[in-house]
Amino acid sequence: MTFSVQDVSVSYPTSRGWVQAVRNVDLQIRPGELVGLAGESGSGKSTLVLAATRVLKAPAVSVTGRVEIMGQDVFAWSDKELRAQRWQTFSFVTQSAMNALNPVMRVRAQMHDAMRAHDPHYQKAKADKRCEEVLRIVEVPAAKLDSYPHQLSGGQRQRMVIALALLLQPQLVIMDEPTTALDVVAQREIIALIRRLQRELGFAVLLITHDLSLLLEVADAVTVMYGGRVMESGRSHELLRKASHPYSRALIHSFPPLHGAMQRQEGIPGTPPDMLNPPLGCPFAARCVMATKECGEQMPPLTRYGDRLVACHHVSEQDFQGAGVIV
Amino acid sequence: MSAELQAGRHGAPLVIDQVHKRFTQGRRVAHILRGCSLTIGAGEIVALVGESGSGKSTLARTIMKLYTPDEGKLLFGSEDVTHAKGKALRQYRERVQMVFQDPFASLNPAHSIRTILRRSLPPSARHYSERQREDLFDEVLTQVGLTPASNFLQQFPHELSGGQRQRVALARSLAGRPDLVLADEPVSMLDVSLRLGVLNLMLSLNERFGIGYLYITHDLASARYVASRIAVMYAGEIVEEGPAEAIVEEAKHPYTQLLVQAAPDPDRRGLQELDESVFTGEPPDLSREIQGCPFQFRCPHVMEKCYESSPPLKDLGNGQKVKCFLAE
Ligand SMILES: Nc1ncnc2c1ncn2[C@@H]1O[C@H](COP(=O)(O)OP(=O)(O)OP(=O)(O)O)[C@@H](O)[C@H]1O
Ligand SMILES: Nc1ncnc2c1ncn2[C@@H]1O[C@H](COP(=O)(O)OP(=O)(O)OP(=O)(O)O)[C@@H](O)[C@H]1O
Ligand code: SF4
Ligand SMILES: [Mg+2]
Ligand SMILES: [Mg+2]
Repeated sequence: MTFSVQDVSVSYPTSRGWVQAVRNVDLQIRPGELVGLAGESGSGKSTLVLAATRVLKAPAVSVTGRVEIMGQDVFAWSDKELRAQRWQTFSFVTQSAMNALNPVMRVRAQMHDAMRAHDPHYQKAKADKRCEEVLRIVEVPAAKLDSYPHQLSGGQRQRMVIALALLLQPQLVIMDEPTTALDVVAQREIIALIRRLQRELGFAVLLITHDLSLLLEVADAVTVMYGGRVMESGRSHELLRKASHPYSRALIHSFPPLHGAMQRQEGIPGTPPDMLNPPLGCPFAARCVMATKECGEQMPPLTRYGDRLVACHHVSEQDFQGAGVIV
Repeated sequence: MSAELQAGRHGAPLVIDQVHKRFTQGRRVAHILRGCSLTIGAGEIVALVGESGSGKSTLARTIMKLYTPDEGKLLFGSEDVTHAKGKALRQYRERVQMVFQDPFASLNPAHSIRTILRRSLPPSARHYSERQREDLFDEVLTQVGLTPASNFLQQFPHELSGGQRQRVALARSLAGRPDLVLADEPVSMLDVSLRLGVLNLMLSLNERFGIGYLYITHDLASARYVASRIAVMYAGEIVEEGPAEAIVEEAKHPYTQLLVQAAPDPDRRGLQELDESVFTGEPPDLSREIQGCPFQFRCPHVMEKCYESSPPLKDLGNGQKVKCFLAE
């Protein structure tokens, strides 16, 4: 496993109590895989990866569980080891591209800094060449290397951060909403390029996005979170064909169509749970069309059906029989 | 309800007329807006789409007068605001609000959400009682799905997720009930369900109060969902505009066709099914003068004359306008 998250829970202490942002999450990524993490805004996606890569640590958060990157226990690393691994073994594209870049440094200088810190054989000319290489991957004109972040468009900033993440060829690249500022052409183009690089170099990618349609198109496997918990996970093509959890089903069915008749759509009525006082039962119960009394009272366990994991009281073995859904 | 804020207001059309904006970086001059023209009718929702770096945010910032146009005019109603200053500028900015693209950079980290919202209220709301104000905040936060609102009012931006910040930014723009909101990618971090909620909110505020929008987005499906018209920007020019339906179903400009073709479609799977050849090529280098059509470097239909002169804006009659020789 390149990346393994085992039973991780993360809470934020606030003056009003603990915000239970992530609850008992498991996630596995094998070498060369592209795994997607989807879910509603506020469902805990960023919190999970920020805590798993120790960007967030005590006392800002309380974290339990275990995280391994390339078989090593991340929480056992010293700060020095962590610094040595970051960018080199794993890299992390945070959700805010602006915050990931130093606003008072030109992009080129920031890239050189990263290379100098990790490469004992650092050479300026070689480093410049590498900068240009990664800019070609993300398709930003090399001239933009000498821009300050505020001189770049939203999409160019995001591409720069992706370039920075690929710079040292890490084994694991975690990207949190890396393409929100990119048009669909560019979005697919960059993901396709990352796919190709992955095949050549064998690194793994965790892609966080609210855009389930993109994930189902490009990812090998997808995990769907809601209210801090994993609701469903499985291979993308299977999920696309038949999502089992009512939340993932609702997500897949609420795309406004590009063509055809136009009508008002309602999405999923209701609002997400208050994570300060999370519901006793299934976090989705208040908005779920299938919810019964049991759902409001008891958290459904995440249950395995072949390749699929689903947490829902109203999904059972029968839903996976016939049709060869379990591969 | 804040109908009072709305009373006596009539929206006004915003006319962007042949606007140019250049940036100087050392010795290089980048010509970002190159004669950009667009009209947003009073109470109209217009979507602005186009690739990254094409100048959408620059246009919005220019409309907001954060940048002054180097050439061209900005008219709001009967007023020429191109060079508005002082009081006229303040009044203009009360009526035209902006939701910035990056919610991580646009909310003051030192202020609670309550303070952020309070500061967004126009002077006309100064006489509000504490109670009325809290009710208004409660209402706008609930409208964007941040519930319970009382929790969020006490929070600081760093305590919010990306999508939650984005919704605070939108709530802030709505608190003053402006005539026109320039919303730069306001839902890019929201999943489809919340996204629909916010888009429906825009539609209902548009119907109830006549608030107009310039909705900047990369998502054609949502553009078609909320907007009556879609404008397509390429290299600092509007290369095609028209009724939303016509742009999606009968795009005439090769770039718009490319956008429509690449839009995600739940019925289609796999990147390999996209025609890879349309992806080749880069946006033009804007630090050089472009002779001819700006799309010539990537256009699958490029002809001799496309290199020589820039195509005129052709009015197709149904409200659709195209800048391409093919439409001649
Ligand atoms: N520093 C903090 N203090 C208190 N609560 C926080 C803090 N940071 C995040 N939260 C809360 O934790 C929950 C999860 O936030 P997180 O940023 O992980 O969501 P997300 O899934 O990444 O959402 P998005 O898609 O909108 O980015 C949210 O309800 C958020 O309000
Ligand atoms: N202050 C500035 N100085 C120099 N160049 C700038 C400045 N602001 C923007 N630019 C350049 O202008 C071009 C257009 O930027 P703009 O932010 O308007 O694009 P955009 O269409 O909003 O793109 P995106 O979809 O990526 O947000 C980009 O090439 C950018 O580098
Ligand atoms: S004018 Fe020519 S180059 Fe430009 S879009 Fe039309 S056919 Fe293509
Ligand atoms: Mg997030
Ligand atoms: Mg922009």
